[in-house]
Amino acid sequence: MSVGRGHTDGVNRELREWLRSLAGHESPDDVVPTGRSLSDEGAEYLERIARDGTLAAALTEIGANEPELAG
Amino acid sequence: MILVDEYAALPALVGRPAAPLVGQPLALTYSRAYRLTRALLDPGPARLATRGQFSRLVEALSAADQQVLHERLAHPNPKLLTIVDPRPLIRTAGAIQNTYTLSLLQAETMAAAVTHDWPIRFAEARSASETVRRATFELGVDLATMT
Repeated sequence: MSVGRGHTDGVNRELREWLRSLAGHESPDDVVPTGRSLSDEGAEYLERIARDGTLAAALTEIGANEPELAG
Repeated sequence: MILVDEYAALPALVGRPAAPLVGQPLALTYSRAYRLTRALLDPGPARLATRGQFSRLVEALSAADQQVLHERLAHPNPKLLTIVDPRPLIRTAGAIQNTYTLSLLQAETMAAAVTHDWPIRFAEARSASETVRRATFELGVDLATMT
């Protein structure tokens, strides 16, 4: 018995390929550390949004829509 | 190991932990790592981008910084932050949710603290709801907020 790929009409290939590109490595052992760091500006921005309520608003929005992710 | 919320984890991920956490190995539960990653995802090319305003958070970062951030989120430096394996915590988290009115995210944090005997340090007071505080008290978990 063969397993087909199902329908292909209406497939959003751009979305599909983007989602596939986001996947991480299956094992941490496969990861090659790049040793790269964020720029000072980038690190300062992320530090700031963690403290000034910007990240809190985003996490609250997620939790409001999905109660299991609230808190 | 110290369990933290996303507000403490994000600065630590980029090498800027809050003063009380400097030099301490930190841990973030899977649910919290998932929620943080989701909040920091770029919009992508398609309709997923329409589901939340939070996708704008990373627009202030350069493409290079976004890449580094996502590498750090997926594979944090274990000297700075560990993402806790959720599998051994499933039964404990389930039992906690059967006992307290907590979300899965909150119950998993509680389960990790109880199971591993790790203290919890939240950087944001809103992470410690009244029910969370009651559960930590009754379960003997060391919880403090750093705000």
